[in-house]
Amino acid sequence: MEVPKIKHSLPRWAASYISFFVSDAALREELEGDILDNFNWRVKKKKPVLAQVHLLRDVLLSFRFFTNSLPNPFEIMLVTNFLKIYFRQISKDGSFLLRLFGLAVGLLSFLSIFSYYQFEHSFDSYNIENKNMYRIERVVQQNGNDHRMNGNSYLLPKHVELNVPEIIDIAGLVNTRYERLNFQYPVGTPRFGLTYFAVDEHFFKIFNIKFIEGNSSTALKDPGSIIITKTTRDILFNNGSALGKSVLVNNSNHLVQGVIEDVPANTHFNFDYLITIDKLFQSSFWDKDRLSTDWGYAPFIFYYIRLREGASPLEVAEKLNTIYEQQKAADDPDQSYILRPISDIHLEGHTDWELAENADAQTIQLVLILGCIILLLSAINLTFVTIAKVSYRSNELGLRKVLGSSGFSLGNQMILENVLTLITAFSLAMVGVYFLKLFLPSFFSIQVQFTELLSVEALTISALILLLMGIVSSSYPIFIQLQTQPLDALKGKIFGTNRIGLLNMLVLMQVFFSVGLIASTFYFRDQIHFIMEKDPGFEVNNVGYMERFVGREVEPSYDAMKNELLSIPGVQSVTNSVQLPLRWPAGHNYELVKKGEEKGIMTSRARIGFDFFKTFEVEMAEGREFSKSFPSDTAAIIISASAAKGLGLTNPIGEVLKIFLRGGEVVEEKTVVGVVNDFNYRTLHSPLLPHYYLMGPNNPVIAINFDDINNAETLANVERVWKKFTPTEAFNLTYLRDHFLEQYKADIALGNSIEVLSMVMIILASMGIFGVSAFTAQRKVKEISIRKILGANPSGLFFLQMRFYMFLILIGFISSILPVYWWISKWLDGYAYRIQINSLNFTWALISITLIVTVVAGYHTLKVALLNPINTLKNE
Amino acid sequence: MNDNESIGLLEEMILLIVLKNSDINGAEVLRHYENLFHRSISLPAVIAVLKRLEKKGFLKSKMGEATRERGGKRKNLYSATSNGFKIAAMIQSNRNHLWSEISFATG
Repeated sequence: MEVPKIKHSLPRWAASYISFFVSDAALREELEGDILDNFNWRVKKKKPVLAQVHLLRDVLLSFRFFTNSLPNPFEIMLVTNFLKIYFRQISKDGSFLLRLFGLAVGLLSFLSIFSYYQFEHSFDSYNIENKNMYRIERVVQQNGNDHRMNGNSYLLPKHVELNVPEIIDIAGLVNTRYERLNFQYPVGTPRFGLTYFAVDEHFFKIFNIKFIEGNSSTALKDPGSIIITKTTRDILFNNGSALGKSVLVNNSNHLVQGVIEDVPANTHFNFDYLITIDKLFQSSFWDKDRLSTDWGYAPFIFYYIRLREGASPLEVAEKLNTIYEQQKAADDPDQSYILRPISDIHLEGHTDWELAENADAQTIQLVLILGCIILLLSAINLTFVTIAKVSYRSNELGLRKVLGSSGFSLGNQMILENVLTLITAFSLAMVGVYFLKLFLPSFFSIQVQFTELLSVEALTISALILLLMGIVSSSYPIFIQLQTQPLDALKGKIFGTNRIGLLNMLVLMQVFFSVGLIASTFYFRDQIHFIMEKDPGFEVNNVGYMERFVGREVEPSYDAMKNELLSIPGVQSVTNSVQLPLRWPAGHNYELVKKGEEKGIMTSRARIGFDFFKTFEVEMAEGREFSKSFPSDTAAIIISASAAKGLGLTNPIGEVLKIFLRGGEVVEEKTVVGVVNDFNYRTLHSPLLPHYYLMGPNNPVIAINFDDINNAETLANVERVWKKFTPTEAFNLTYLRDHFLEQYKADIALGNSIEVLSMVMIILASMGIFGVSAFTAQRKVKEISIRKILGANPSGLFFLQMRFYMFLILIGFISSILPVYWWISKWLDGYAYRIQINSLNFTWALISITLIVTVVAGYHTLKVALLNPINTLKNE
Repeated sequence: MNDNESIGLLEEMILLIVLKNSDINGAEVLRHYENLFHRSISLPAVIAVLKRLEKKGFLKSKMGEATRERGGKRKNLYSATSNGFKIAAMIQSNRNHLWSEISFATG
């Protein structure tokens, strides 16, 4: 080992080690001096090894001053220093508040969309054994067409119990969505508008709805029982107890056997009260004996089942198929069963009859994608701003480096600044969500439960987003300052020309998404406008309808009531029917065959009374509509023009048609008395299909065609007549227009949300482009000053700069055309009646984005073009 | 006696060394200590104690001259304050008082 000599300075490593841990300069000097002093003293005492050891020990142990010299005040100083610089930056930066706002709006949009998405995906999840619960659906093959139906035979549970041990529970429900009952409480006070379903006694074994009063296991045992929800109880019984009370439903007493919590909003059905299936069948005209013997009789009961843990739904469906094969009559159609998980019904149900409107999974996904794009734009903007600020702050960075601060200090400062900005924006967004929830449901007609925002998933996602945005926006400053030399930084050479390409990419992306969304918004608006304004083929605006309860006998007084209604000034025409336009089932389950031929066409049908087409203002193409003066009309049929065409009837009046419902069994044979022009009796989502009309034996709906449906005097007279003839039922005139609009609620909501989202997108994009243009303009100050000195005029300089933005717009625009075209046509495919995609909306989008960019980017460009070159050049 | 006036054994020893030799730096304190107790101590430990005593007001310091031995770094010279003298004296008198009551037989 080399003999150490007297040293006149500490080794480099020791010095930097001490300087790392000891920040107090005086202490450092003392420490270094004393360590060296001692070392030399030991060397002089001829103890060189000991001197080395002591030196090592003394240096290493110096770290104790690190902890000792970092007391709280020092930390506070760091924080206050950070905050001071942060607020100085903010106050210098005029667009900070705007940017913060933009970030908050971006986060807010995403959070609300995410919670909406979560809500739509949470349907029926409150049921404990959710994943083992299914609805039995069947696919019926009829004439080569598949129909998905929910209804099943009344006999199914009996056979299931015997043959399918995997099914633990099976509960039935009858869909009575559009049928009214005469509900009275107290007796003599009719209540209209209460919705109900008929269920069997196993209903609460499947659905875990909490009982407030009564007992779930016994509540539905007695056919005469009725279950009401808490809201219904609060209305009817003034918040008091309802258990054991008697209410009158269709003139029959029902005993309240239970009060349950309201069904959660994320359930695929909703109701005010429940009655039993047995009671429904008793009170209607159903043949009780046939119900319990004939498999194919009244096959319209929805069945919900719970499978044993681990049972395969496919195998269970196979077993159900076997049961059907054994039970069906020879002429029953072929069919196969499907088990649909209960949590999928809301998004993927879409069978002919659903208990409530289903949502469109694709639409929801689409909105989520938009939310993600908005979030992405916010992140891009933040990143860009950080990049731009690094370059603005290159002097600060250079000075920090020159003064010996560690390489990371500016990076840390900027990361912390970003994090603080993000957290502030996030808090703002949360506040925004709180206020949004006050008006969002009415605006979008969406019942989103915002408590979902506090769920674990939502919070995790939010934390991840914040983290990700923080990392993405901070990676650049770290990268740049590791590379930058202090001298370059002081000269402002921090931002090489290659980085400009990155900025242009950012602008391009903003333009791309903005054009896409603006164009889409225009197309959405056009399509929704098109649908709302398209003549459905029948009178919508001045027709109102009233509903009497189902299951009564034909009122002999209807004729007198009709005559009295017709005598009211302002009433054009009155009719009654079973079905209303807009309320017909989607299924085309009836086969019409011309007598003497083998094959016919699939149709749907409605049962109507007299003056139906007159009231709805639908023209007859040939023949006449049902009339009182032809008693033989009970054996008559009216077919739509499309049905006549489909059947190939050249002279339809007087033709005899056969109607088949199930396989080959002849249900009815009718003579054509009229052909009616086609009209869109359902939404314009679905194409117009052939249909026919029979005379209804029992028509609970009365429709009236008014001169002016808003005339208060006319309506008062109608109410008077209603009360005279139907004293036991509540007057309930509903505008057909409302019902019509209701169908397009989802479309209108989607249109609204797309509109709002595209506004957000435009705001974000404008802010992004504004930032980029400010930055670019700043960088070109010197160039422009020199150009001006050499004689360039301001307008020329302005257009020179703007030309570049126009170029970017053009590229962004062209690249967005194809994707937008693709997804808009995909969306429009969901409508049977749709607009054509024309170039006009793209042109509008191009014009709008050009205007926006001109204003936003032009501001800084113009400012730079107009500046006085002397002021900018004299800095050097 | 409040917290600022409490003092440990090592602190007392170093205070006494400074009382004995005023205007003394950390390195010299260490040498005195090692000569006196024949025990090794690290310099940061000594300086930490000096700083602590200074903070408690028993010592004061001033910057001295720089020498080649110290690599051009200035010395930090410590000397005791009157408070330092008082506390050392008080500890000693307490100790004497205790000692006077200890029976030699128990030793």
